[in-house]
Amino acid sequence: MIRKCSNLLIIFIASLMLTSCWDYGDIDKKSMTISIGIEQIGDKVQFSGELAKLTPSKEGTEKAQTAQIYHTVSYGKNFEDARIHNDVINPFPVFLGVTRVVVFGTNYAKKGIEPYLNRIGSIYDYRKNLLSVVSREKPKALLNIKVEKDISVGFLIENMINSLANSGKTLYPNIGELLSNIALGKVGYVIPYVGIEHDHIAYLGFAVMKDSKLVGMIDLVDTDGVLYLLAEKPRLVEAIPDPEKEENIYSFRTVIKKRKIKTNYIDKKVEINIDLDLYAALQYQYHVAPLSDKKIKKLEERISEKVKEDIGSIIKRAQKEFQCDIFQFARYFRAQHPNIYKKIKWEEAFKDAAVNVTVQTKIINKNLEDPNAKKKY
Amino acid sequence: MNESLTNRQIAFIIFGVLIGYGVMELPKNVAENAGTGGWLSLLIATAITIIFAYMITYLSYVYKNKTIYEYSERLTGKFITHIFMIIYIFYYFLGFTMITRVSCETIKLTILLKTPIWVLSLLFSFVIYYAVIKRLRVIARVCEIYGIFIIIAALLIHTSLFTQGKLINLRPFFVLEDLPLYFKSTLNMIFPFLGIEILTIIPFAKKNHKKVFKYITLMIVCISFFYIMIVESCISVMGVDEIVHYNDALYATIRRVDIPAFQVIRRLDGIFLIAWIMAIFCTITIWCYGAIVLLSKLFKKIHFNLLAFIVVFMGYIVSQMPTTYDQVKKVLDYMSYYGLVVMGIIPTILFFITKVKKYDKKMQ
Repeated sequence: MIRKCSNLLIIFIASLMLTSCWDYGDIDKKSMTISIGIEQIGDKVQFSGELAKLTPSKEGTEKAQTAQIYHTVSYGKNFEDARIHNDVINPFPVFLGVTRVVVFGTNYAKKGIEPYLNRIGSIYDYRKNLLSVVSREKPKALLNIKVEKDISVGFLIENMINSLANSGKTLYPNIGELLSNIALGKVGYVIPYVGIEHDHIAYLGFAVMKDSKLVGMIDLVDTDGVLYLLAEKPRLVEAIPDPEKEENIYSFRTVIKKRKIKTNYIDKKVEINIDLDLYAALQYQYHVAPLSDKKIKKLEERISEKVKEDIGSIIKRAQKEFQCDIFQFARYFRAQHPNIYKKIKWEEAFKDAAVNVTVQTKIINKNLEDPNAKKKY
Repeated sequence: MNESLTNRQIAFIIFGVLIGYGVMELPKNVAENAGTGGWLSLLIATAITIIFAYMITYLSYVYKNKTIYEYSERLTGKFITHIFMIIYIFYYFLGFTMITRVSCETIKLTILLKTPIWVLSLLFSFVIYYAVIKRLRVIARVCEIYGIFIIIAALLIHTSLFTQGKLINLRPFFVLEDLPLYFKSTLNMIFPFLGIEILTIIPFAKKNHKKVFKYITLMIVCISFFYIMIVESCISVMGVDEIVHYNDALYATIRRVDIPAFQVIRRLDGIFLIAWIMAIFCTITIWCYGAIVLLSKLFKKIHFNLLAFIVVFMGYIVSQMPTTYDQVKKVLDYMSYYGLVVMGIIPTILFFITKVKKYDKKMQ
């Protein structure tokens, strides 16, 4: 009898559970936030949002489909205040789990983005590997731009930075990485800098953050040095003039074979030694000219010099202009000299650190072309 | 009822009881106490645990088909045995209730935000009751099956975490000047190994020949490497400076990672939560079984299933008593010290009495 009852009970409980959550709500009953913009307007925080408007499909099925994007703006003296004002203008509860990008305005970035990063790090909804960027224009203006290349501004920025990062042309520092840098303390970091160029949203370079406050920008053309140091697999293009004939230019694609960062502490001064081994592949020449072994050696030297200059100049800028370690050399120094690291003030030590950059390049192929071919006629 | 287990089942019972809630905050505890050299503290703690495990296994090995209740009575008399039993019963009971509660708290704070704690606890209680009335052999089999799934899931998750982490975050691997710190933090590193005292309630059969020592030692070494893998993979992603801020360090790390190559399972938290809840289920069931089986030795007239119902029901009520998460954490912190008594002191006393009175030779 008891056995029969227990079986009935199991069937009853199982059927109850199969009915799924009793507070289940359809996806179109949520305000799906795709992008969020944060800016400081006077003494108030401005939240601008880009949300997906979901409507049921025409076939009348329960599945929802994206119909269009709508925008919201709210203000408050702090995040909580602004969020309340944001909640009261949305038809459904705001859902942040699908947010693609957080856009910081320059005013807010100058004040410091750490509070908002901590908010993302702790609020359940947010993905922790979310992308954050600093915008030259006000986030509200940026998010309101009509985009044809993608579903929305948020998707466009995320896809743009993602594809550039995958091809080694920028960094994709997610919120988690930024929080790790903040926890390390004593170091700065860079995040992508975007803006509106000729009515298009464009990646402009890096925003430099010291103590999570915006202290400067690195223009797109000057980002190579940063990428050689920080990108996982940078794939950059170097245009090197012919050593004998300046108007001819050799276009090389470079990749890092080996990157070694070694630090020292000599005479109470930090020394940072960076060794880079590069592989270069010749893509093409502007004017096809013979390429002797001697010339190849010279070109290798030129590439090395150029990369060394790129790295040297950006480190010098970090030491003098930004006055912070945006490359997180502190991690290497701490790993290699943990006891000295405890005693010194890294922020000060980095500014006066001696930096030695050594770059060795090897041209590994000429893209199956033979510039030395002999002509018969 | 024949409750003898195979050597492999005993090893997996240890795996089931050790791998549970503790792994969630293990990376934080290691990073907080010993920094990037925490792996060394874990290895030292493993060596100490193996010594304790050897003593407990030896007792069970010498006194075949007996649990701590029977051989303690023989070694120390009825009165002291009753005191020991009360200590053990209270320990297992408290462990069962508080681990249930803290796990439910974590589940609520991480995935089921709107579900009340009492509902989650109730659900656990139902399942645990069902498991414990099926007795030790079934629990051991569940541990075997779940254990294998947990190991596969953990290998997948942590290998993926390593691919996303940075080697520089794991360095310095060892600082000579911090050697005293590594030894000092060993005490904290023993806590994740609390649970091996469950061997005291597992009766060994004749078939558990000397190889059982090898199985148990090997399992503890494997668990130690399992712990090191968890700690190092998490630190490699988050860095030692940040991970110390998260009580749910393991889950927080997993949420940071997104592996596009895995397509539909690019976010690993889904797999992790399944494996983690399975691990918690094994842990709680074994702790609960420990309390019930020892109580059944004291109250021989009460049917095991009824006793199980009373323990689970009381456990459910006690688990609802703490009002805040911090209170539960505090109880668990005190329990760690309590655990040293039941894992270390009592088995050591019994081991030495056996050796001094040469019971081991008499039993053979």
